Amino acid sequence: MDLLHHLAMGFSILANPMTILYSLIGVVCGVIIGALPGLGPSVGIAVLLPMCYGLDPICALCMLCGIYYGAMYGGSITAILINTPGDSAAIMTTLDGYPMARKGQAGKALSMSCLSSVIGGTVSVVLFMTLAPVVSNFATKFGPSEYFALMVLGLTSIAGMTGKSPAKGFLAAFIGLFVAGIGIDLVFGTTKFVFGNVNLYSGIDFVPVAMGLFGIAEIVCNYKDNNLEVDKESLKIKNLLPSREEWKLSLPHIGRGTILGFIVGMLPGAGATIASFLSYDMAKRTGKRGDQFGTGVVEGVAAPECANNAASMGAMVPMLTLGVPGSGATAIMMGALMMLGISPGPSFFVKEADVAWGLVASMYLGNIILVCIGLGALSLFVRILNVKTTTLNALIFAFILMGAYALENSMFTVGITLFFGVLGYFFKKVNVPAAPMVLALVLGAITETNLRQALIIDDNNFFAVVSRPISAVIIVIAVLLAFGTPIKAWIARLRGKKAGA
Amino acid sequence: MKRLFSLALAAALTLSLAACGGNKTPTTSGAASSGTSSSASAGSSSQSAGWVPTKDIEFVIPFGAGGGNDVMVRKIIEIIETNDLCPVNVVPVNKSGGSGVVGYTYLTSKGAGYEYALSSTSASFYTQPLTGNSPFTPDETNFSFVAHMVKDPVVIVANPALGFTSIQDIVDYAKANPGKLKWGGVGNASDDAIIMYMLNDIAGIDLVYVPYDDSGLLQAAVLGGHIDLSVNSLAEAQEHMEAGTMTAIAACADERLSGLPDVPTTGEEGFDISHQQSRGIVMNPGVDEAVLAYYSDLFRQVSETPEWKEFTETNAMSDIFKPYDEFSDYAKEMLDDYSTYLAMVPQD
Repeated sequence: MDLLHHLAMGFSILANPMTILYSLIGVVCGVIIGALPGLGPSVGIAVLLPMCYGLDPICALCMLCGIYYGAMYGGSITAILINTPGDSAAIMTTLDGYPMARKGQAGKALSMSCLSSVIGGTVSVVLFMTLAPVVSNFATKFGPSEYFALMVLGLTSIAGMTGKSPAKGFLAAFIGLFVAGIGIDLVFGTTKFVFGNVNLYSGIDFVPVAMGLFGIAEIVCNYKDNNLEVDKESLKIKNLLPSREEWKLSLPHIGRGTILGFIVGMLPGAGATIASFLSYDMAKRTGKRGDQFGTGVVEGVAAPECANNAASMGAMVPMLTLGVPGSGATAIMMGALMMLGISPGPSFFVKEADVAWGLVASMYLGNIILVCIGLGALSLFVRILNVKTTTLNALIFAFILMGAYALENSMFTVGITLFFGVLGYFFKKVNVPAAPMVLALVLGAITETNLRQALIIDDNNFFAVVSRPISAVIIVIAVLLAFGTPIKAWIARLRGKKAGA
Repeated sequence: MKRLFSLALAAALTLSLAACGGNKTPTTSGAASSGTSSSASAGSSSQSAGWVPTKDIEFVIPFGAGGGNDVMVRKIIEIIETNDLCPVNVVPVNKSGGSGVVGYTYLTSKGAGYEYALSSTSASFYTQPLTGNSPFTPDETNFSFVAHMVKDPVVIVANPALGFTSIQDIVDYAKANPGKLKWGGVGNASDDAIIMYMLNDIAGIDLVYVPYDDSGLLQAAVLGGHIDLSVNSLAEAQEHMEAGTMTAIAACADERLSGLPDVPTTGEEGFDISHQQSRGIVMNPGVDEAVLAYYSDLFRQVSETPEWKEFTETNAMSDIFKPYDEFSDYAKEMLDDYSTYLAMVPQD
């Protein structure tokens, strides 16, 4: 009852039209910024931070949370409509979302994305409320060896994305791993594959690569006019929502994805990206239509979407209970909170209870507003596809280049985007899937860093690294997932032999 | 007609792309046009003692937005604007990459003697050239020194599980268990590493350095006991000390930090490892002395404002302002110190 009492207090603090207004502004701005390729929640929060200077902390908090959620959803809009993920968490949404859009089911994909995001977000707020004090220690149990194991698990999910030709998928993955290794070495400071170019010292960030590989390549290959005219009939709201059977198929995935997303999101550094990968992979293996993933099934959108929103909520756990930011966006949020005079940390819920619970309540509010905006603007988003392909492509290209420049204020990033755009074009021509490359790029860097740190901590004893309790469990799961099918077949054959003998 | 329209649209988009200066500041074309102004005119600047800027000044921040250096520079600019200390706009420009090298490349591209661009410095200003990753050695051939603003002290912290309460405890444990204690820090040739290697050298022990690139993850690792020791800024240390999740052992500073009055300095503990990161301001080499004097005085005024005092107080920075002539000598000292320290860091 204590919990409900706190929540009621939180809502009472929010019962002020100004907070709702700011939350609304936050969500709208967040969706727009998340939709623009290259800009994600971190940029959104950083850009709108000056607006918070004079505001009451609660209003500012509502706005920031609104931006955070809105940006998570916004990233999937472009992922579905134009196959350009707005942030790393939306990559998995492109795998099924974009094929759905090409089949004329963009509205369904968008609405499922919105609704599963909101379900994931709301359920994880409940989890947060009930579990935060208990699980705050969870994040600290993960050291480099545990992260390494988790990354290995994530890398095994690449196998699920290779489509028809595993060899091509692995080719893309290995290229991604190579690109992940470019930069200055963490331990010794040696330069690796930078060719003396200062701009490559910090490595190649995934965002320009994704924008080039997915966005530009798509544009170049799609210069022909799409005959995807969306007629008035299909814009009626009931045709834009998923049907009952689709809900029945998706709900189990949403449930599992939310819990998985929340747990993974609690780990600083792992975050929404890994959560969406793992959730998609799990849905693919356990779903009734698992083998159809990748061709445009709605569960393929529901699973990663709920996971990434749950993960963004999970990332708040270490931020608010330990003062350790769980992801880039939460790091900026923490900076914003400190600027507002609130310092998250172990005693946050105790010392500043009203702000803390107001924050929790504002997350619910943000989710509600997201539903309204997401569904309300649905027909608007779908109509984007009505725009003549040539004009749309020109606009997207311009936005991609602007986004690439805005990342680092440097033309070098734009060059990287264009380079990977060309590479992406060749990938498409040879039917090499792009998603494994980006996945390997994102995970590869983290895997290498954590493995090396783990080796230093365990005195170069690899066996010690993998035999730590949590790492061992995760690695066993990864091995089972990777070799599960052949092992099952082998056991079945053995049984068959026994039965026969 | 349609064609004309689409051509016009394309032209409008290209123009808007070209005009995108990349700054998030209210000034207009200051940044774009100052980049093209010739450095020849800078060389022939007036020799009179009262130099004042006549066009917007670019402040190049060689690090990412939101980082410690960025926050400090933007605070300086904010103070200049609210107190009307400068007749022209000061425009911040982030040019991050290569731990500062991209920013310094941009700064020096303006040419020697250019008076309208400044840049901030951090530890990497000294360490990057020493590790061979930067061509910009921190001396008069590459920069003119303008002013030194603050020093950033850190606190040595430990995971409470090991029960350390002083540096001597750490040293004793390390001597009894060689190679067992792990010290985490951000970067591999950074101040975090340097402090550890200094301790190794002075006490004759062998703490093992574990490099991180994300301070959030490092914090989590110390809290979880994966890493035994680390250094933290005051803001971070305070929270965890109060919660009992980390023990603050000693402060690497010249005097006790006001936020942690019970924590002794490393000097008091008998170990001279109070190395601190310093932040200063530089500009292109060969700049006229009158110009240096102007900027130096401008930043002196900034350092004397109550807003600056408050800023340094809240962020636990030591406000150690040095004008341009003193900074130049101080930088030489820093360079010598860093050369010695980096010799202790194993480099490939």
